[in-house]
Amino acid sequence: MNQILAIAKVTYREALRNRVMYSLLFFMVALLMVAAVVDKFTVAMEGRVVFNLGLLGVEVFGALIAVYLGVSAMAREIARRTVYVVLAKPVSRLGFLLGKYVGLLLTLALLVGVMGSLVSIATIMFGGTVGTATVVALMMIWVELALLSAVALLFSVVSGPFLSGMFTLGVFVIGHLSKGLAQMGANSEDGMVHAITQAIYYVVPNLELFSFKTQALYHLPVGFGALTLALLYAVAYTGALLAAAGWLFGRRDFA
Amino acid sequence: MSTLANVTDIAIQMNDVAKSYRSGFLMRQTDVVREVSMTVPAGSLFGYLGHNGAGKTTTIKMLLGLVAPTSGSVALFGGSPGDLEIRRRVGYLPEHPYFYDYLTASEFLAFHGQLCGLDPKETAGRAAELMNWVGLEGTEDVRLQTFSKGMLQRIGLAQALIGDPDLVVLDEPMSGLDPAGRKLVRDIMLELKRRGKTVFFSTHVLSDAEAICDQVAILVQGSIRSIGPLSELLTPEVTEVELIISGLPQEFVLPGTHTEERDGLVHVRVTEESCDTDIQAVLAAGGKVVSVTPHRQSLEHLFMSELDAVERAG
Repeated sequence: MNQILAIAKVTYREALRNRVMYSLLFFMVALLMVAAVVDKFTVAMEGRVVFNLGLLGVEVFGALIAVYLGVSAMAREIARRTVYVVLAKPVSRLGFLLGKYVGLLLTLALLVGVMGSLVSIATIMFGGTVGTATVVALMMIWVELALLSAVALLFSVVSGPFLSGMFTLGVFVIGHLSKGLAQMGANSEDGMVHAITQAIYYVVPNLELFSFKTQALYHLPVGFGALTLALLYAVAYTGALLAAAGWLFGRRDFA
Repeated sequence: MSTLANVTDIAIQMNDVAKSYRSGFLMRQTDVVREVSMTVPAGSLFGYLGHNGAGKTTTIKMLLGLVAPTSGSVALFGGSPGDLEIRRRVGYLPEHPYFYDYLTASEFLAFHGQLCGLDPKETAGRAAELMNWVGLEGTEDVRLQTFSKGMLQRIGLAQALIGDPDLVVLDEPMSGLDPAGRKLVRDIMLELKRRGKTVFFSTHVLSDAEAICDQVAILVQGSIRSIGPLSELLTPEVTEVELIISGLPQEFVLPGTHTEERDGLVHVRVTEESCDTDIQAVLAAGGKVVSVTPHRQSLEHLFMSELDAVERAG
């Protein structure tokens, strides 16, 4: 356990030194400024444009960073051969992978926290309010990013950084559309379309399950059932992804 | 510290270990290591010699479980390299090491101490001792990104030793070091042996190996050509005698090998059997023998003859 935490700490420190993260934070601030202008010229919005666009920004920029860090966490270790001395120590390959993953989770938690705070402050400045539902929505964005970075780790164990990044971004986009696609497929008369959309729905994670933005925007109560289902789904899916990544990583040669 | 009861007599046992890769569009097979077998006794200083690309690094990676052999078996202290308890007893310095360069030297050693399962206090004590040992005292708070190649090699050696391993595997440990650094590494290896540790190191610098090794293996194109104690591999008999001669008439030709002229002196290598006759012939021709140096077989001779044998056969 100590070894996993040691690797997590090093991964976290490395991520904090990454300039890409700060660039995306800059874009987040720019997005909030644009949203503020729109909000100001729209009647009776009371910060809703800022809040809505802000949460969308947290999710999209968070996803871009999760993909980038998730892919580069493994790719850099392998390309720079820093992994050799670590794996020659009494550290299992699964332990190394989990250490990297925990490091990514910590980084993403910090990132979502910072971006979420910016959105909340901007919303309050424009007359809006934030509450428990906002915290839940932000936490579930973090859970979504956690799942996405597990996807990135899995791809980066078996593929190069570019392809891994593209595949993971594909999962992010399709993961938000898969339910809608499945419903469209179900209405299709073509059996093949139906089968393909169903396959996508069951294979690609359903990321819409983690969306609690509407409840946060309109201060609606968050259903305990929906929240529990989303969390269980995330834990099971992430566990399966990490197990697969660990199995593949355990068989990899470091030639 | 490992207990004596844990130490078996054999540190490394490789039986018919081979590694091949398939690459390219036609998936052509490349044999990197071919049926390597060796036994490295615990407490010995073992040199793994070979030219660049001979398969030394791949063998070492198989020893550490970083690469799986295509066939054959590898055992460290009687156990599998994949066993974490076995790996706790192994320290490794890769060739051209790359580390997390945003860490300071002490943070780096603390990280590796943690990976070895040491507590922070134990790690701090070991790190201070090792920084001193590898000649990096005073650079504890310096980030590795500002380290020179030689300093990285030294800190790499320190991380390999942080867990007080019974077996130290060093891949080209002298690489990138100045003469003082090379001597330091040689001294460290000898001290490790004195402390009862097993040191397995690869090199293509034969003088390093000849100076300190108990045993060597010579790897040529992925196969071991010679293996054993240096005293057995190198014949103790005089193989050649070097004569340095002055005042020799130009028309005089001595039937020796490797004749060359430097600073007005003729250097010639003759066989031990013909040495007396050759000296008499030189004196009779009016020359003067300045020096007579007997040469025994060196590791370089052995290495080159193995390399030549493979090239002739190939």
